Amino acid sequence: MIMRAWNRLWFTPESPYNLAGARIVIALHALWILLSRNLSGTSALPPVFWSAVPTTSQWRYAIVPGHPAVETALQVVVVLGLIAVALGLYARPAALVAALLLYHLAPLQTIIWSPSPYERGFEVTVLALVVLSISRSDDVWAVRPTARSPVTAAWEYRWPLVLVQLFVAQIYLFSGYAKLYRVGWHWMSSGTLRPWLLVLGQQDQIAVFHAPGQWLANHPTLTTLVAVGAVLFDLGFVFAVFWRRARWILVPAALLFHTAILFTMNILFLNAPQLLVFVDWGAVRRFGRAVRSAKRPWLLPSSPSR
Amino acid sequence: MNDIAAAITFLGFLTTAVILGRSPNRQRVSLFLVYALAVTFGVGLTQRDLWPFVSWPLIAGTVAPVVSQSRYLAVDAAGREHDIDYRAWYPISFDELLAWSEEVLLTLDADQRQQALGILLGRVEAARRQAIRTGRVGAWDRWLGPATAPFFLLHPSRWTTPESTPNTPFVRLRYYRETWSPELLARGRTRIRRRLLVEYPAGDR
Repeated sequence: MIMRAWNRLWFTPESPYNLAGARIVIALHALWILLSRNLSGTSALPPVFWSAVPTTSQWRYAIVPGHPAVETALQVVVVLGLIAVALGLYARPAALVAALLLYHLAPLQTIIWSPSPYERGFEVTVLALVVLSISRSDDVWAVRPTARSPVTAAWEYRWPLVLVQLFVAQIYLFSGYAKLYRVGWHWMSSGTLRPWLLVLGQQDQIAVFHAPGQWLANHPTLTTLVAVGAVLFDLGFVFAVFWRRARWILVPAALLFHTAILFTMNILFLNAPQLLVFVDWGAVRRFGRAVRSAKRPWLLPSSPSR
Repeated sequence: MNDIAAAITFLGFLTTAVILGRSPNRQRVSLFLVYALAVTFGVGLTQRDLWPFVSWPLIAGTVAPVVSQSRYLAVDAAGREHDIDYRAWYPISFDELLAWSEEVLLTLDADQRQQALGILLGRVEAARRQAIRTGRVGAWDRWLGPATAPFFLLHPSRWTTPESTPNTPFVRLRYYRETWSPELLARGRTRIRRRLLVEYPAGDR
């Protein structure tokens, strides 16, 4: 029974295009964050900024401060690696190299005060790149595809895709769980959410949007509903991994959720683009081909008159 | 201890992946999946981060009745205080700088503190001059321009035009802590209290 459910979840046939789509999404998202930061710049900071960094944290990430040129070179290698992953050019070794180097580079964002670069955009990326490095994500939509025969749906495309989707879904699942674990059921009340809305709108060094959060904070019933809805949504999003139809509701709802958080709390959730790993890229491809064929019917084999 | 546990956990993830990668079959894949699930759910359910395995406690807390935030202000030769654009600390991000200031700065000895603040003052003054000269602050957008990824917390840009950029050189840097009650402030019954914690150069105000 358990084995059957296990096999059904991880080893049923899956479209190769969905895994290839996830590969491209993960690589492009990582490039977006990486090219928006200067990770090697931290390495160049004078020793006084490194004075409180524990040696164990430096060893853990193989970081030796004071070598910005080396870090810049590694950053260039990661960029090239991620481009190769996105293009499907030696994607598997490129994904492994990118994962290892991002594991080393990402902590440079926070290491002067914390060894955990949490909420900085690379958590899911590092794990997903390791998974992609041992999967057949480059059988299709690749400059250099590794598949030797025509590809069809297979279990080999299923488990890595589901695992990457689960990493993304765990963001919501653990976020909902953390609210209940750390605060309790009363997190789902106006009394907890209202102060968050107030304080994030009152800090003039953070607040870009003021009015939506303050407006919501002044409507206790609505704030309670939002708090309850947020926790239920967090805990329920994991269904998107197991139930394809649920994605039609849950993924757009997640985007709406993040948009609302952006305007009411001034928080931009950097992992939001990774929700695209839930898109049925096989269906998108079929749709695209159908549209192209409709525009150019003479290309169809069934149009002999043209 | 957490560093060692986290390193071993990630090494285990890599090792099982490499073992699987040699000849993937369902049994080996299952072993890898069990490891990945055990670690991610272990971290999530115990709420102990082992980056890159994280517990995602997003807004999973309560706001204290009285809250505080750190603020740096730059001072010109006339003694006027100026807000500093969040991009001016490049390559340190503003959020990391404030966190470092709260966690580390005040634990440094007086000489180190002055040394650090002197470096920071040099950076913001260089950024001010760059903003006046080029209209750009920092170099966060050097590769992606307007498509540059923002930070997790948004920040308003201060120095958006030559007019909004201070036109006199900064000669001092002050680090303040501000405290207030969000509830009372929202009702207009209090204001934000600001306390100077450290200043560069020290002692000759």
